[in-house]
Amino acid sequence: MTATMLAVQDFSLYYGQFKALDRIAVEIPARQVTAIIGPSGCGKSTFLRTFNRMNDLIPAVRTEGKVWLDGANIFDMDVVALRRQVGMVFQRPNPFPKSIFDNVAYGPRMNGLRDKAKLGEIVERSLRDAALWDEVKDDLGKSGMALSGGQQQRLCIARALAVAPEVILMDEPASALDPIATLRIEDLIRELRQKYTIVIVTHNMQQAARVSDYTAFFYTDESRTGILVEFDKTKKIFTNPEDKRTEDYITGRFG
Amino acid sequence: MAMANEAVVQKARVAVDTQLRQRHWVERLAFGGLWLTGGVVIVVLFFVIGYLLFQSVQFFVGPENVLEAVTLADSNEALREKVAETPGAIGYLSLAYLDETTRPVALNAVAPTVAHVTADTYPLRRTLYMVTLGEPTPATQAWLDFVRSADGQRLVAEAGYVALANAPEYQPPATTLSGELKMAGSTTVEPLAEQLATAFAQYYPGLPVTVEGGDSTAGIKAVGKGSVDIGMSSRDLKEVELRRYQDLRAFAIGYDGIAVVVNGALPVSGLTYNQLRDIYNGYIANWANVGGPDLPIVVVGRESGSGTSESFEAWVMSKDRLMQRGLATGDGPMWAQGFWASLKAVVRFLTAKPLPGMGGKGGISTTIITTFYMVLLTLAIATPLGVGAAIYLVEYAGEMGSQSAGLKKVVEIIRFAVETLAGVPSIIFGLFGFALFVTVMRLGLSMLSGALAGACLILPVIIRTTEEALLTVPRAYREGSLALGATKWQTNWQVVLPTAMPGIVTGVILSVGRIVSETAVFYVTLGGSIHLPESVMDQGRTMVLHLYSLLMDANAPAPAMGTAMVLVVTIVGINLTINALSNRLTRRMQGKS
Repeated sequence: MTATMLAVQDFSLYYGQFKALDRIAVEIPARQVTAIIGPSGCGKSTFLRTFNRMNDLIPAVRTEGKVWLDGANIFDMDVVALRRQVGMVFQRPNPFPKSIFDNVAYGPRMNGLRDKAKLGEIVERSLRDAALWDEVKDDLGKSGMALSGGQQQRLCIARALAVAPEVILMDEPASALDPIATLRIEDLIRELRQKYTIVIVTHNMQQAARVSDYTAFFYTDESRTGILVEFDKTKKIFTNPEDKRTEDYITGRFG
Repeated sequence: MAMANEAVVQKARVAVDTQLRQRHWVERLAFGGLWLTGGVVIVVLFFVIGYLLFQSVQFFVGPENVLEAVTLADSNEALREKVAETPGAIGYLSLAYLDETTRPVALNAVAPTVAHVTADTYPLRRTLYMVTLGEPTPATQAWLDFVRSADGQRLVAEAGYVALANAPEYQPPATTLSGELKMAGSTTVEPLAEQLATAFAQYYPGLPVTVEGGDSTAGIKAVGKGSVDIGMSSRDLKEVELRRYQDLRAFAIGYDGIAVVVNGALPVSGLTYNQLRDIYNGYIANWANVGGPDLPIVVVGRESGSGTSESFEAWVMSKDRLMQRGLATGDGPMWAQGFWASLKAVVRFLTAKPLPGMGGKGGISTTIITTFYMVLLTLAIATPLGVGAAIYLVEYAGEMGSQSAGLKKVVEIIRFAVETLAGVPSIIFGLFGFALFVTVMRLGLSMLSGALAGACLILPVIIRTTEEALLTVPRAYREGSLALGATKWQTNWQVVLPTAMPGIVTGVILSVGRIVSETAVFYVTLGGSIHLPESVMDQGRTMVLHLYSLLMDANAPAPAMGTAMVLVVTIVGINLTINALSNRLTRRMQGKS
């Protein structure tokens, strides 16, 4: 059994009076890819955004329970420090309207790094890790907005890598991309597993099967409150799930 | 059954088509209306700009550029007296009135003497006329014969004028005439005419001559209407007079020079044409600028009907006349000289200070600089406040507002106030500024008061445009930045503001236009001094205020047109700048730089 990176204990989340997630408990292993799957509206993305407390931006959100990152409760941590350890890649590529270099250097700069040579090193390494270096190395001054969609998403991944996080959250990172760009992102995710703990939300079950080591299946009924039905190795979930609902979802009976 | 269904579907389809076609017509009509409205607006705009352009071009190239003298005298003697007693005074009068009380000035190194006028080397030479309506009657003919004879011309020369060449000897009359000969007009000719009348009485005791003054214009009018027999004029007849009173005839009775004189105490003995013109246009206001002592120039002129003043202005101010007489400055063809002269007029107008007094003389240089000051000062106050307020409203209050109902209410009230203020007439802001800054805060009429009141005026514009710009920044940018561990402050400065910059810049430049064109607020808070302000506590006058004052106080529409043109060009420039800047910023944002 691998070490645990994120431990979720008895976690519930409310939007005002509405309960969106009910008593979730899961342990996300370090340096593995964990996929979160489930039907629309079951709280997958909300759950993912818990890990870097992006839900804090929504004033009506209230939480119960605990989430441990490397032994520290993330709700007690400074949110800025937390986000430097837990990076995020969004559904739609969202590079800043700045040059490629400035996009990648943004995080380190916000941490106070001013050394040009060091920034250059970080930018190069991050772009290499995000498999974008060869395509943009001669054109780092070009605006990030001028890249193709797939390149933009890899730029966003490089941007997240540049702050050297331990965990990278991905919220349907390939859903806005074409199949070829999607494949490259998936290859990249498998590469990144060696260095980072990755949690990915996806609608695409083939994708979950292709890239992830572990899978969490979320589900919701008419109450629209999300619950975690099953968490296990991906192979187990896709071949021999414990729960009937998981099986029904995997086999395409609903969802 | 299937057939029937198809029929129903077909029918429905036709109905929909018809409906669409009808809507199509409505839309076409609506579009036509819009096109028409747009077209009309564009045409109107072009006419307005064209009118301004035309008027200001007239001002810059035409005789409209002649500015009236500051002090007016209504006769040659009165003018001479005024120049003699006023230090630093300059004026012009008929050669015959030259005496030792004033100092005559050589023009382009030619002194105003009878010899020079006779030889036609002195430039300001004019002809004196007796004017009749139609063929002279026996009585007027007798008078003209006498005046134009050697006897009469001797009197002309004795009076200080220049006699006609080759005047025939006078033939005393064989018959007598009775009745009366009435004449009126030019005060230049009047004393001469009186002496001529005395001599004439020897030959025609039964034909008494009465001589009245007035001025050349009045004399020509009187003879044209038939109320006198002869009009006296010290200038050529005008087109309009020849058209109005048909068959006017002008008989030359001698020549005169117009002498330029200065106060006797001034050690100035010569001027060039350009200097003289600049003095009478108000562009040179101190004797130091033409080689004299440091003393303000007091410009004295004649009333507007005066033939002397009309001849003087026609010669000194009109480029055409100067060019005809070979006195224009440069070389080259006439149109080119005219062009350069106009360009110089424009440059002088822009660079000369406005002159005190009611004539609207001088240029607009200080008002341009004051306008620039006001823009800087007002923006310096309003931009940080407006942009800051907008950032607070969008980035902070909105978020916190959903937690606290009270704050939400406050934000709503602020938004409503901003919207409302944007529609309040600017004189209200002026009133407020006058009450608060000028009176209560005791800042007085000053640039600071004006800038504070102006800042209140443009604050809503800046807040609104900045808010809109901030709201168009995608949420994904903020989330992306925050997710990288940036603080809210860093996110705002590094990502949100730069992205919103084109919109914010547009808002700020829009307010520049607003300040440049603002009248009411500054009218009551800025004071109206034409001098250049030396500190923020000094009064000032922006271009618009100057324009207003030229039109309403000085009644000088010609320089007002020139000022208006400068303003319109400024506004057009501002709008071009907005376009260029926001295009460039937007392109850079999209990575096409």
